[in-house]
Amino acid sequence: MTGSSSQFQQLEKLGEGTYATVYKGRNRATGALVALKEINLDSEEGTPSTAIREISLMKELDHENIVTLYDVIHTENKLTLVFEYMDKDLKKYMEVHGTQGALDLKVVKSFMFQLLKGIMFCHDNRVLHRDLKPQNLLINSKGELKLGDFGLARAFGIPFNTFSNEVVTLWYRAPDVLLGSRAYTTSIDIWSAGCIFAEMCTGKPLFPGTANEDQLIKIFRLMGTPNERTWPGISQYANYKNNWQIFVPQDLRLIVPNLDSLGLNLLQSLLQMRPEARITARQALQHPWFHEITNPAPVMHQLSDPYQQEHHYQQQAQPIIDHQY
Amino acid sequence: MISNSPDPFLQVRLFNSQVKSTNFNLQSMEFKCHSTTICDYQMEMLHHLLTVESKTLPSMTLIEQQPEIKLGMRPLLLDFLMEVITILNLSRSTFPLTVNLIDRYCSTRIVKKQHYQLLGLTSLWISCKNLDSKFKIPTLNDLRKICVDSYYKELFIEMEKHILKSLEWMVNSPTFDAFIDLYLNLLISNNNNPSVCDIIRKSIHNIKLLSNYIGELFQFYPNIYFDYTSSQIALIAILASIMTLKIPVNLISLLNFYNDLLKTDEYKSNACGDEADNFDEILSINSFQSLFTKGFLKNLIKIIDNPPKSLEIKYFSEKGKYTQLMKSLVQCAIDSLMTLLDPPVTPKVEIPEIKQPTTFALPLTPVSNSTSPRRFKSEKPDDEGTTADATAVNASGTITPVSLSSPNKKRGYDSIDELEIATSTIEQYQKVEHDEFKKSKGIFFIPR
Repeated sequence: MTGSSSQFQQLEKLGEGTYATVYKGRNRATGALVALKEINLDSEEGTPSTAIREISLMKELDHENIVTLYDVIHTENKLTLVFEYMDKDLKKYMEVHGTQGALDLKVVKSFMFQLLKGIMFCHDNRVLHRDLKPQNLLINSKGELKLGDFGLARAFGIPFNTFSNEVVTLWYRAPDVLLGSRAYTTSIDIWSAGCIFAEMCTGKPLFPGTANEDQLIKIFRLMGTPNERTWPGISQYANYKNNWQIFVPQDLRLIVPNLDSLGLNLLQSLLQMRPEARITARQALQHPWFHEITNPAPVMHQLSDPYQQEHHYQQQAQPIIDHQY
Repeated sequence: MISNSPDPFLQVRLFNSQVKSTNFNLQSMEFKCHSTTICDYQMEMLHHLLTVESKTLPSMTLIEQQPEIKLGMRPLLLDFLMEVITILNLSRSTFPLTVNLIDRYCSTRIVKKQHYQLLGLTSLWISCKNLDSKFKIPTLNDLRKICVDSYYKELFIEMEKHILKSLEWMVNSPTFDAFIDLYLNLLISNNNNPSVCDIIRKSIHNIKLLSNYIGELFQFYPNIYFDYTSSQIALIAILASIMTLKIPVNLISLLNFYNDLLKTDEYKSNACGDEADNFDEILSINSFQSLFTKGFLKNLIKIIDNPPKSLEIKYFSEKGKYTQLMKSLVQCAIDSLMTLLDPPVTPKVEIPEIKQPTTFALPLTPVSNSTSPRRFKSEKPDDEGTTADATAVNASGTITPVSLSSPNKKRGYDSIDELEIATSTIEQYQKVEHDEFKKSKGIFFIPR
């Protein structure tokens, strides 16, 4: 933790988050690429709580499917987090490598497996990510998927604390959260994983709602409108209405036609309306759909082909970027 | 005290939470859902918390090397911070986390006397940012007001940076209350012994409340706090509560249950990932037996009966949520401790030694002027000796109470002879302790 910002050469901007800007950077000494997340410090607020949580949680989480935090540089008016560099996020990856965004099922399987492993590790270490979406899942040239952006993450306790329900980008938000639950638990990350699963298969977001109410209706349209019989206690929620249009549950096969039946079964378990019925990450990893990964198979070799081409291309392109800065 | 939050959703959320807090069905529904999910992760969480804890321990030896900060000042500061936390209505974990940050900072950097309160408030600020919801976090102006303009705003910002850097951003140390919750949850979800499980479940709320109270009290006493880790303090607090609430569960077998958890395959398979840490047991039978002696029980009575002012406000003030329950719990605890120490079957001649009615009536009266632990009475002559010095640094040096009431009203005890004796022995011990602390690992103040 003794880095200074002059140690890194700042390259192009990679993205802008809610409270930070991310740049590509290069370590001047070693030449290694890094991602630099810059947070401007407010003189009234001190270090933002999001930064305190993100950094302290990431220092605890050391896992192959979670982005590594190398260093924190704290200066007068800026806080810079130095992360391991990842080529692109899942959203970009789908645009580039998918056929109209849809990925090959083998790739989907590998990514889902890694995503669930990352989620399981977080939950094992009593951390909720709370903001899982394709933009926060990072992919490197080796085909590894890692969870990033722990800006909204929280440590949870046995009796939960109540959290604000303004978390998770709308499209990936669980129905219980949309209904006004603030005491949600590990199951909210699982719902997001289910949405991402379907999106990887089809190339399109599963529930692209525009507002809280619209989001709920989009979910009901596919999963069926819940009622006291299918979801005991639902009428207790703050946002419950008894005049919702009644939809009957649809077969997920119609939405995700290219997925085999085992995969559909897993998707169904991830996308359970009732939080307590949702599968846990640990159980999901043991799902038979993943059997070909749990027994070492040549899946990974086939996977790495497109990346290797990508890799060569990037290495040639690098010097040009260097000259610019 | 609560700042005007710029957050436009504040009112909405306040309303929602109000609706929720009145809706018992919803609460229990959500809690059930959460606890069923959590069961899957309990063992991993235990392992993780123990690992993080082992990396974030303060060191008594290093703190004692502080040139200006004396251990006797610690309870004063904690009392002040606890009061702030109660007023701001912060989460339960905020206090122990704050204490952890203060002690760890004092184990790494030298702190000047006039900056001790600054350290305390900034630690509180950090743990609050880490644990509490956005609109409860005090602003810099709030902090400045809390310490009655002792420090400039810039100092808080600077101190925050120092703390985060010195602690390498590891500001998520597990607190004793997290362990209490985890232990109790492990116990009631254990299917091997349904009868114990049932007994505990029936009075889980009382056990939890009393254990948390005892745990909070322990934070104030450097002897026990530094001799045991949070995970051990939590277990000691639970064992002490179960014992004093007369819950018919064998303490040794309970202790074995927790220690055996670390030997299960489930735990081991998780632990093998990082070989560096292998925890054999949470609290060994030996240390349990050497801790739960007569001396400890005697001190336990004194401690739970005379809480620091801030805890008295939190638990025993008239408006308090738990006042009635806490009163009865403490009463029950003291009664059973009394019978343990002095079985009623053989009434002794020297009954005055435990002239109880007067003593335990004390904390139950909400107007009582009970002060912080008497440990720092011994600091009193020292404080008076440096009055000139103190006035010189008065503007920034002294601990300023939140409320206007004087913190030094100790008259409450004077009328009771027995307590005075107790106090003088404490003072005597205090001197001994300063000289050869490391040799005699006494529990609280009294040598074995």
